[in-house]
Amino acid sequence: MVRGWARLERLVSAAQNGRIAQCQLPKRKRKVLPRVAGARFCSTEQTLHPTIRPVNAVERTTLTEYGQYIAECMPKYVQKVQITAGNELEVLIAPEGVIPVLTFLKDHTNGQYTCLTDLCGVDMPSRAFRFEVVYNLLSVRFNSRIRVKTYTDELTPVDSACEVYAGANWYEREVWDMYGVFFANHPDLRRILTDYGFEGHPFRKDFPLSGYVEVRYDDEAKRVVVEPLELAQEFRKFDLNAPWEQFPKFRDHVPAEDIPIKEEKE
Amino acid sequence: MLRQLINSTARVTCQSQRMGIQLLQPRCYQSTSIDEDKTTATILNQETDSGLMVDAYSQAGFRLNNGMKVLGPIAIFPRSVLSWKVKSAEDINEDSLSLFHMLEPKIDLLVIGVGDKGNKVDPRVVHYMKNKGITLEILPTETACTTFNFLNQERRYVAGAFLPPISLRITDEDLVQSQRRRNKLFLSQDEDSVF
Repeated sequence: MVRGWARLERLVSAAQNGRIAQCQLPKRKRKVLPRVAGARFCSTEQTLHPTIRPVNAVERTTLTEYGQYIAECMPKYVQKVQITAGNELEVLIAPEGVIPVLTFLKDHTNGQYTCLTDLCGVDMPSRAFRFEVVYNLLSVRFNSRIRVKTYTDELTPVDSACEVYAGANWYEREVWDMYGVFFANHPDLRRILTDYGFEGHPFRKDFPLSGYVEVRYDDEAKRVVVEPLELAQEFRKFDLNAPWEQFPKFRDHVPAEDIPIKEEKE
Repeated sequence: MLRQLINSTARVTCQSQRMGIQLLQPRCYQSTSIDEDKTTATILNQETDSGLMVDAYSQAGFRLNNGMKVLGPIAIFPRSVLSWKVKSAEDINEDSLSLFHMLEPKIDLLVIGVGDKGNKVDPRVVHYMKNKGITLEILPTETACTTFNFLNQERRYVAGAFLPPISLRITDEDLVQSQRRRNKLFLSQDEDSVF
């Protein structure tokens, strides 16, 4: 936190002394966009309000253009590119393209997203393809993060990312255990968090909070027995929404803004 | 090395990574002994009173932690082991699993080692066993042995039904251990080819 404050004060004093350098925006016509590693720290505005997150327009434009570049490089698999309010780039791809897109992001010189920081699933039961698989990648070279999202349903397998990122092993086991998403070509896909005889996939939205079974020690049988759930108090669902609007200034807020991808012209 | 592999494919044994390592943390009470600050690690399979565990497996059979070697598929219980009459994973049916649901006290969990990774078990058999009240854990034999060892160490009511795998991952450590076991570790192999 101290570093952030010190940086802000330096920016303010530099702005007052007229010493801030303008950052070069990459030109649109070039095929290979150079990545500006220090884009995060460039700012041409004076932000004196410490409690409001400064808008980093340079970073946003860099990420937007990189997102368009990815969409141009892989038009077969990339379906949508979004950028969130906090400058997080998200690439939405078809499930057939997991290995090609991840290999591209990892190995391409402009990407170099060599670190898989997270692999998780999301359950949206209202959709036809209810499960989303989300890959969070980090590029140490460019100090940049990106999110890759795919979709699937209960029965369709997704290609395992283990051949691209070895660290995907246990994450995919967790997604299999918790959601039931099968990963094809995974070296060792088995349960990781649930108990050995456990049935069901707990993170699904239709799986109840307290589960279906309970365990207790039976004194007569001198062993731990698994029985159907009996709650002493029936389940109460609380509606925690306040009657007043929470954020009136953010009524039109969109969590992620779509980045326009150029359509292929035949 | 390769020649030895070809000559003894049937007898190559795999050191089981199923030998889990159990870490024992020191108890948190006052003690005057200096050595009790250290964390100790013991090999799970070599603990006494921990029940039967699978030490190693091969294409031929299994070696257990009480020194016994069993050829062919096995049905293993906390304190005893039987040979199991099953040809392959497809042959696992209600009859071959009939022993497990007739046991008293009833087992919680049956770990089935299907051999190689891709072998499937008939889903109707899975349903049949679930109706009898026994949860199944169907895994490749390698991980099935490990799981059985851990569950046995925890004193759970578990039984294992393992088929020897066809394809093995052999490391140099495995070759050294099997040679040592047969007292052939320090014999030179080059001389054999001359004769």
